Amino acid sequence: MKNFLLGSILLCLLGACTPLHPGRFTEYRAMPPPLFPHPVVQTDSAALLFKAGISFYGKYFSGLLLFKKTGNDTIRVVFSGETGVTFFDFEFSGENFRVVKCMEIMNREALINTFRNDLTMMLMAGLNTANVQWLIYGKQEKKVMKFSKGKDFFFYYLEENGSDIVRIERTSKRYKKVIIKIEQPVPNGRYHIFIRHKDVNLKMDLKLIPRSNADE
Amino acid sequence: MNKLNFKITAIIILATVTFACHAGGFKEMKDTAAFVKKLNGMTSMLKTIESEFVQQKNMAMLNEKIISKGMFYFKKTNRIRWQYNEPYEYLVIIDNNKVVVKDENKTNKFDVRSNKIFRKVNDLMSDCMQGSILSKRSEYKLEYYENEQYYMVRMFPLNGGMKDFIEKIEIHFDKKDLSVSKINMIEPTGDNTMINFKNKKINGVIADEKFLVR
Repeated sequence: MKNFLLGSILLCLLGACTPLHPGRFTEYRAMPPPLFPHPVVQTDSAALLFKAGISFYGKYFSGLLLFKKTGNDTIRVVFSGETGVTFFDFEFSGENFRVVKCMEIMNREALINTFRNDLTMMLMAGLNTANVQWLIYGKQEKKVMKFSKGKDFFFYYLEENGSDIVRIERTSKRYKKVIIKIEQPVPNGRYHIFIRHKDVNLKMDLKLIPRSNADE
Repeated sequence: MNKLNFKITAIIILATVTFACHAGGFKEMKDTAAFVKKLNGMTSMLKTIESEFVQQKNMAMLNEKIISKGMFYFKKTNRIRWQYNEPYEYLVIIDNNKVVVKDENKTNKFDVRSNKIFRKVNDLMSDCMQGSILSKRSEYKLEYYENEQYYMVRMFPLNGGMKDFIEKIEIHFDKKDLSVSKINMIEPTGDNTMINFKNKKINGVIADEKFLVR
């Protein structure tokens, strides 16, 4: 009886631990290696405007999230409410980061760092391309780029055609921290990005607003 | 600097300052007491407002403007419906302290008192639309201007919280009926949001269903 109880407890505990990646990665060996994909948010030319909903610890903010390349290596990201009030304005320049403006309620170091990390993942800012490890994942043999930075790992899953990123994960050695899902563009040019955190109560939903509506 | 250069410089500075004050043809209002009295009279008669709006956000880092359009409804006392139709659907209904935000497929309900920023922004917008903002002298420093078409009140927030994100607000009142025609919110960075109200219907019938918080 004692052994049965112990076994049951162990079984429950093991069952509760989801493996980091249930499928297996294999090394991508073909040559030449795949082309480096574009970032999820491409800011090569014009500004990109997303309808954004951000919720953290019971607070919900909605508005517009704007990405604009302002220099060779510099990108500004501005989140403002529907009525025009700016909540935050960040500047990414390579690995450097600057808070241009942040409203008091969001001006918390941990929160700003979380936004910074999430946006960096999408912009692929400051990633060392020489550090990339190409992998194959799952039965469909999807290509995956793996980077490491500090103690964390970043997995970029590519679509079957190999050119678009459809999923990004940030993990530690043992568990997933952040999952970003990208719904591919539908015929009207919109695409959706869903950001979910496993370790903090924060999520972001972004929906691209077609360019013709962003400017006049 | 010789005397001539000094005089020229002084004239240029004076001309620049004068031009800046009179941008849009606005001059200081002659009789502010009469304007405030008229506005109070209009506000006391006000029951409903229904208006289309076009909102234009200008940012220094962008060449283009961000435009959104929708409908605004107000019904006394303190019931508001902001309905953005383009380029996305977004709806805010305020019924006194109850708020519903419908953001495409997502609906959020909360008490307006629980969200400080939301409360501030919405108090500001509703007070502007009703003209009751002029009574909040402890919160704003007010300046009064006018041109042929509008009375314009420029408001400078005095309190820390609001001052952080709004440097000044300019409210344009149509001289014909004293209704609010434009609200321009200027941020400390110089970026601004201009809301233009068009096809206004004052004191028309608006069904209570427009403000149902479901």
